Amino acid sequence: MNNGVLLFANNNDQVDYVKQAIFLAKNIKKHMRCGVAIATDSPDYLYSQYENHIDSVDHVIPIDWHVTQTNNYKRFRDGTMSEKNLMWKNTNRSSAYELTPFDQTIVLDTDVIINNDRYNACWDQSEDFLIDSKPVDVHGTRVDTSFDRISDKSVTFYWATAFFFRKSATTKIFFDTINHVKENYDFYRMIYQIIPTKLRNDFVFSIAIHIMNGFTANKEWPKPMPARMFMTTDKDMLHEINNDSYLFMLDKETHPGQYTVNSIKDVNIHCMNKFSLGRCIDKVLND
Amino acid sequence: MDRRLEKALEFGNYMATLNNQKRLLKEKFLDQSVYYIDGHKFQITMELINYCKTLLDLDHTHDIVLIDSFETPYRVPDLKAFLDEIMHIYFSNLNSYHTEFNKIKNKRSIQEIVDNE
Repeated sequence: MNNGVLLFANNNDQVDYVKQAIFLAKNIKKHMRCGVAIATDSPDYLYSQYENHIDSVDHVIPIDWHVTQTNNYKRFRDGTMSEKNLMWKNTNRSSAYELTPFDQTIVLDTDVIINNDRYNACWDQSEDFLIDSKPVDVHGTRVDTSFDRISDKSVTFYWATAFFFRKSATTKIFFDTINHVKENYDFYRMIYQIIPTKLRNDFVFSIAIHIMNGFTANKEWPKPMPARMFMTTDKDMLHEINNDSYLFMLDKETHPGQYTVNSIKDVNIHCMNKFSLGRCIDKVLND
Repeated sequence: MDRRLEKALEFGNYMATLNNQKRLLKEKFLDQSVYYIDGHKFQITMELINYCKTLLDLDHTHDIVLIDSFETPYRVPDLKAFLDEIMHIYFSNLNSYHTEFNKIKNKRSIQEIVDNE
């Protein structure tokens, strides 16, 4: 089978998702040694800006982005003391089934850091679809229940940050369901008691999973990804990348602007602070 | 600021870093203590190791059905080979965990703790 990782990289005014995708592609080649495809609305930028790193990418898939499609704006934090309201071009995720050049695909957010080969276990297992619902918070004492359910009295939160799918009749139905939820998001948002109006892939996936399970809280499907995802929020900051070791400044919840530090290596990390990730990637790619 | 309070706050930061670093080492150990075989995933625990060893001691050596981490049954063709493999992964990770834990447990500054990773 043809296996690979698909990344979506649609830049906005201040976040260079293409740069993150290039860095992630290099990590995937280093640790997982499988194919990498980047779907982007900025292929020219990718080729011109990162021509020295393009050998890490097997497929570049141009995608269209129409500003009128969804004027999705989101608050992007850079630690606890800085935030910006920027466009969030995140709605292509549901087209992964059609866009992927692979028979078996892992879709990753570009702000994921791959640090081991354990996702390779996806290729040989029997499930057609895998997705995580419970990452490990790098912060040891943060109490945050907002990632348990998509709203206080609603369904289990699944992370569209990292998921695996194999092309099959079931996954085709699943992706069609995702598109249906996306197209009727205002309706489902009210039914599932989601307060924020912006479309979020995690919510769409969680709702589609609930529908596919016959509107029940079934624990049997879908199964989790083979390796656990460690996560930091955008209130935390990635401070330094040293080989495969990542030094994070972790938000002190009761003291905004103050941080504790911890370093971590050999695990996959979702680094939601895109600004700090971008700064660290600059240093690595320029070395 | 009162010098005593300043010292206490400094120590608090050190403890927060040390304790979280220990927790992260444990989480990494759990993440790595996994055995994949024929599309099945087994979280390697002392319970699984002991169960396999008990079966072997009772001369159940081949075609043993185990429940994997996805709650799916899997027929193990050769239990001895299975046990050897999970023991190898478990102890290799356990030794790394032990080594890394010992590196940080006596460190007395935040810089020393995070430099070790």
